[in-house]
Amino acid sequence: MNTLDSLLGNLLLISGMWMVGLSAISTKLTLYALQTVAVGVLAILVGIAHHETALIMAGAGVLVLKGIAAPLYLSYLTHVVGCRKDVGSLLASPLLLLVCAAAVGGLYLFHPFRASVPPGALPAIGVILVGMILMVSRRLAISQIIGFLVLENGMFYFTVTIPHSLPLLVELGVLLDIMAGTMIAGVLTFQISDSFEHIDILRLNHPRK
Amino acid sequence: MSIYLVRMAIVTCEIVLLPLLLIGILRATRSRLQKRKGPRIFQPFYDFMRLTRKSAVVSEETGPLFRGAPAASLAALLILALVTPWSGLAAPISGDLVLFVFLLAAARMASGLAALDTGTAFGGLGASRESALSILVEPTLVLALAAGAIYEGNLTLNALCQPANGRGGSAYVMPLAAAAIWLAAAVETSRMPVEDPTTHLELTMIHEAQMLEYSGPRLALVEYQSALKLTVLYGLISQFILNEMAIKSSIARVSGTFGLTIAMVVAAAVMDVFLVRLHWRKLPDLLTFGLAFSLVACLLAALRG
Repeated sequence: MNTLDSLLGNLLLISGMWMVGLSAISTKLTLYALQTVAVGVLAILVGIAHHETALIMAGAGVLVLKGIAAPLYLSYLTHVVGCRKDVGSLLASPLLLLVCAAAVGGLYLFHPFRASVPPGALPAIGVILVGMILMVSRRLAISQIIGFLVLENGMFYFTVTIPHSLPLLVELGVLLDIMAGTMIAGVLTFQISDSFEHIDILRLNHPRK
Repeated sequence: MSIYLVRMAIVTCEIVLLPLLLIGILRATRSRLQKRKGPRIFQPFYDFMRLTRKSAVVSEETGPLFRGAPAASLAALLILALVTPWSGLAAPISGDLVLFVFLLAAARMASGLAALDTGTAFGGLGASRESALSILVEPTLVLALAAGAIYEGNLTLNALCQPANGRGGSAYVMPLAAAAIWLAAAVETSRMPVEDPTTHLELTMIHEAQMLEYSGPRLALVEYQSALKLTVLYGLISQFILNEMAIKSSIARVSGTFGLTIAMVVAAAVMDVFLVRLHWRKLPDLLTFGLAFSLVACLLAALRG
């Protein structure tokens, strides 16, 4: 199980970094969906191995809600808003990729959370970092929602790697919050697109006359 | 000693036959995918023979650089083919990853200088673009090969075809390095997302633009060199994939390399047909993926070792 853990963790990291460099929203959503389904399946497997019903249920919830429902909703959103490509990022995307690599490298080499984080959970911290970079760097509102969801994937993966870490109630509450957050962000995106004709956040300063 | 001779013989046969055969397979696959009948698989051999029999037309403006460059870059690439274990067998001459990148750069410099020597606008344009791209590609190649070297604990290229640790499952070091080299190979062999190899529009050419002035035997040499470069790079990628699968016996490695190389050539043909050429300014975005992936591969290899 341990090797599977670290294999999957690195895969999450790599797919996260890939998403940072991409500009096509649909590809980004597909990658995100695959990533989330992988985390959900891992959670279910770990739950079965450790006989933890909570983890199995949380994994199933993540699989269905975050892995299937959220990407479908977001792709519907991109379709309605009519934004298929990222307008750009605050840094050039090659630079962003290198920033990601540097952040992950620094994390792995210096391991600043030595006291509180077991080495197996390091990729999870890496995914959280990459999710943050994804969320902060992009100018399109939908990309920022995806970044937020990737960040949350990292969080959930972190709880999976540390058994008995969270009770079911908290797990499901977090899941509900995430879904609510995504819905609200989606509705906001609709509103922004309605009143500004675009969801590029740098253009929010100039409302439609 | 006799084993060394057998190895040398196999590698020599492959150097002579495989590149043009792979190009033939690539063109035939591409034609079939486009619902055309297309040339025979062995057509590149006939083309090569035909070109060597023709007389060359050389511009009066060119100097000895233009005439000597194909031979010089062919020499560099032949040494490259002899130091790299791209056939699945240990290379006859031992070399390390810096030599690999140096030889690629030497061949590129010869063809670039020759293109500048012709004094045509397109030649200069191609040379400038190719050298700009090489700046983006070289770190990727060095880091990807370094990831393999760190993982196997040995700097020589031959270590890549004799996996010291048959652990397989390299935690993505090998797949990531292979993906990075694949991206670099798309630039080095001027394949589709980077350059349209079938284009007749000089303004969009990169590598092809440097070959415009060549004719006759020199053109045959230059075309053979592109094919050789493709063979060596795809063979090298195959070594990374075979290491991931922890295949050790040399017969399995040679046949595996052969199969994987042909699979990659078919994949390249599919990409030629279905992908569009990226805008020149978008290329750094694509190539940084290779750099980032090889960086992460190095990191994972270092953590594992």
